[in-house]
Amino acid sequence: MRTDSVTDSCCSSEYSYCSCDCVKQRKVAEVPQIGYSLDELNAKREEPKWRVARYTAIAMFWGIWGALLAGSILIIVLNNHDVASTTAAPTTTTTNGQ
Amino acid sequence: MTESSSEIPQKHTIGLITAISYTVGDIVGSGIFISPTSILNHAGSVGLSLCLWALCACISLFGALSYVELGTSIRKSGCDFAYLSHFGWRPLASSFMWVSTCLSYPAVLAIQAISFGEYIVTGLDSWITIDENWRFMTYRLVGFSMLWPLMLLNFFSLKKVAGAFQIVATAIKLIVASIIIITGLYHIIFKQQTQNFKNSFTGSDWNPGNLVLGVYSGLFAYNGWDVLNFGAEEIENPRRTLPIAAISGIAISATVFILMNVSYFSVLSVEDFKNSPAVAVTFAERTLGDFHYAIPFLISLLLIGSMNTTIFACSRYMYSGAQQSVMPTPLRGIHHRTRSPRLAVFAEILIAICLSFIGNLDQLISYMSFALWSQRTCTQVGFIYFKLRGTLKTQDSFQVPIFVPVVFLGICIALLVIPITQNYHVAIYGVSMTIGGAIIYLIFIFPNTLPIFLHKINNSIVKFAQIIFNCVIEPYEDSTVEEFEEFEEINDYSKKFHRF
Repeated sequence: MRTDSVTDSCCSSEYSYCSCDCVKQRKVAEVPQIGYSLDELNAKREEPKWRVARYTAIAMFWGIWGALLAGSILIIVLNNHDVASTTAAPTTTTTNGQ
Repeated sequence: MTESSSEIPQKHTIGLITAISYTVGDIVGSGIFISPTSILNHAGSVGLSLCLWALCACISLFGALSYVELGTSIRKSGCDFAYLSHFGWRPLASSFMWVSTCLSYPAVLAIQAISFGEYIVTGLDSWITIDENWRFMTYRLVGFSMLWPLMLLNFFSLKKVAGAFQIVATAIKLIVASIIIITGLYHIIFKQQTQNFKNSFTGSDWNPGNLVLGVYSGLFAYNGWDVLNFGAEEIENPRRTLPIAAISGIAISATVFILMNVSYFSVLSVEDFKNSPAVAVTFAERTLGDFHYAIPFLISLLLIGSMNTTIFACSRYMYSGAQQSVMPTPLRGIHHRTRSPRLAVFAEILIAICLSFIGNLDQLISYMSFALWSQRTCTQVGFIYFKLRGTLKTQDSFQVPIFVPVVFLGICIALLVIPITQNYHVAIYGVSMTIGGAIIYLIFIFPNTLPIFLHKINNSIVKFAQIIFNCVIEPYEDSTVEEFEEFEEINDYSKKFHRF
């Protein structure tokens, strides 16, 4: 991690060409892994703890979307000047539109 | 680590049709509903406003051709950021990166979402009139209801999901625009309604400052001709696709824009135009009879495509910055199989939602236009310099004559200077935000080493984000390393640059 930071700032500092190139060569040779590799990730995400976290995130996504829809529909239906007898129809239209 | 070649995900997923769809999809959108009134306010007359629309198309074409050569010479995603970094102007690129990702592009996305909500609610006005107090919230809730699933759409393969969706969305755009255009032409040709076109230039305002402000609005409408440069690494056969998509995109959009304005003017007078908050809806009310109830919803469909292209452009831009450690590392995550930069997409949506609750987004767009054109000016300066030195030329790049970027540079400078004489706040805010971006660069990016605990925090966040979004961090390949001569020259120039 520290090496990676040094490499980036070396280029940013615009030191001499040789030293910059040397550092880049080293970076290519031993790129420090940030986070997990693909295999580690696949193993990690299947652990029970993280599986629950992932499904919770998915549930939150749809929950938030449902809340947005419900919120907008509630405002449209409840906070208007005239509640027409055909209230349901435009709501359906809106949903179809989306 | 070992993986057969058939399993390696395709990198180049944007074909010609998809490319044209993204370009038209990004250009035709909010602008055609926001800019006409603004342009007419500055132009003052029917004839002059139509001329401004045509002028904006020409300016956009010059810009698009410049960026086509940049895109085929420097084949990196991230548009201006990639080019400024390639030139070696990293501090400048970083500064603009932060301003753009935190303010400009999310603001555009927020406006598109709110416009979507506004048209849905306007459409419902025929049956249900929302209390004025609740309109603010309703627009946003409806807009985000559409924005949220679009985010999910962009988590998946660009070729199969987002790109295909964009083709459909753009087709719908053109169909809806055609309804308005055909209706307008019908009124002109068969009903002989041409009274608004007599004395077309009466009332023109020839003040150069006002004209430039009108051009500003028009360029906002046309903005998007560089959308493909944001995802340049994902384009098939860039040398052929980029120029065709750029020229086709602008030609189609210009035709649509001008014909739509002609249609509007066939029915609406200048006064009607200025008084209408949603000109297409007013137009439909007078021409389409009972069918006009459907127009606002159809216009909402147009905006879906615009939101999709903005999500694409901004996420690739942000991802490009993260690759070079200018943006936070978690944003570097891409899904292994689909190659979607999920974290960047997610971050962009969140920022857009937050921004939409800030006061005046139209005013923010004015400030950001200044920053945007500042960035383009810098890119053009670098482009002209390195083009003249010959270091940009590659076997497979699309070449444009030198006068194209020179003319476009002149236009960029004019667009920066003239508005300052009208409203110097625009420049002050624009420059202030850019300086803010530079400060972020100096604090977090420039230092040789950061404290250990920051690295640990960074790694923890990266791992968590990887698990939740199923992303991997790919090592970045710096394009400057591959061209040693070019690198050396850029390096020399950078030293001079830093002495300023």
